[in-house]
Amino acid sequence: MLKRYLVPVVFVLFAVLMLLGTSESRQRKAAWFGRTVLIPYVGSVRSIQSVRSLKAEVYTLQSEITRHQLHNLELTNRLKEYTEAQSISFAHEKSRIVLAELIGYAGAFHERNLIINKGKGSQIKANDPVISPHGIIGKIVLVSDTYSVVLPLNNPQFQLPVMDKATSVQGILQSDISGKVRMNLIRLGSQISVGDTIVTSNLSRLFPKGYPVGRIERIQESQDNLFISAEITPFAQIENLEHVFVLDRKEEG
Amino acid sequence: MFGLTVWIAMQGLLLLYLQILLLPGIAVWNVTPNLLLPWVIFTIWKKPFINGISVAFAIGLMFDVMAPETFGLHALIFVLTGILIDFLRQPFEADSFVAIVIAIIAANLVYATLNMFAWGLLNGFDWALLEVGAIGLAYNLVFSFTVFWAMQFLSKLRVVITHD
Repeated sequence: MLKRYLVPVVFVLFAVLMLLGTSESRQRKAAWFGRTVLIPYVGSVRSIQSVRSLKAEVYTLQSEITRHQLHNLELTNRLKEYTEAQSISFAHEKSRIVLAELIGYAGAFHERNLIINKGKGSQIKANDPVISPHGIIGKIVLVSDTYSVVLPLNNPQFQLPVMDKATSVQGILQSDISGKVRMNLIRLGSQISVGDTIVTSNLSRLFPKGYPVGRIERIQESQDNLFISAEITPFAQIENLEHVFVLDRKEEG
Repeated sequence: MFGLTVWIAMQGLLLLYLQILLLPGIAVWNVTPNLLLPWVIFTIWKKPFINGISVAFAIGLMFDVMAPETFGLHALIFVLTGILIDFLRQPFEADSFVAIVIAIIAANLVYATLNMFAWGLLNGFDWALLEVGAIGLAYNLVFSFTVFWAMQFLSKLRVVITHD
């Protein structure tokens, strides 16, 4: 009996010896064991705990970075919208400008229309002009409550009176089935040349006068030799649009 | 004999790491269950006494290094629990269900009483200590029963290789 419990009694005495004393003395004893015989054990536990706390910190920091990135993105988008709105150069005090985002396309490739995310709810009406900071885009042809369909200038159904910015030579903007934009019905002998800037005409009832349309790339006579036709590269790239502006000109007298 | 001691020590070490690293995650009302207590009961009950008690003391001391305020407390509790269980198991059969239940309850009572006594001496005795002690006793009892029978089940599993 005594022999069986001799070792456990020694353990008990040793444990009581460790327990005796003040809290500081117990901490000193524990620290001594941690620094000497139990150093591999204490080191491994501390390493694992440190790795876990670092992982938690990395996770927190990553969440923080993601949150900041999203905020940054939101601010960048708002800055872009603001910059584009500021860059519209004509006198638009009498017009209300509605910023809209392009959300889709409708129709076959060369006759396709654009769909924007603003509709009757934003007081958009059919025939409202659609522009970008670079040049005209087209006009509204269909309006629903929440979206509208835009007929772009490279659609064969689109027609608009335009003029040479420098000489005020008038013509009609039209597109063919291949998507090429032309200024047609220019009188023979008109002062017009490659590189001239084409703007909206004073004859247009929809668009404000003098808004940029494109630049003349090539000039050729029509087949009946009565008119000149100018091939135009539009300033606004219809394929790469993100935002457009719809002009509400109802307040004009 | 030495091999058996090493095997018990490996089990104890594994549970000690689990106790320190994972168990705080399942604390209830700031009471962390003790995984080592059912292991001590199981080891003393099923393994040779001197091997079990030696490893239990060493594991208790290692556990205390991570809680220096009460350095020596777990080593003392584990050895006293071991002695108590050794006394309890002698009049019973090895697989007696009643004996095991009595041993688990007795061990948990010793653990809770000594813990409360030690923390009372350190920080003073009050109702909050009694409350925590009662919650700890209940939580550890449930935990001990679960872990003990899980260990018993695992200890009876055998790998059998047959050749057709």
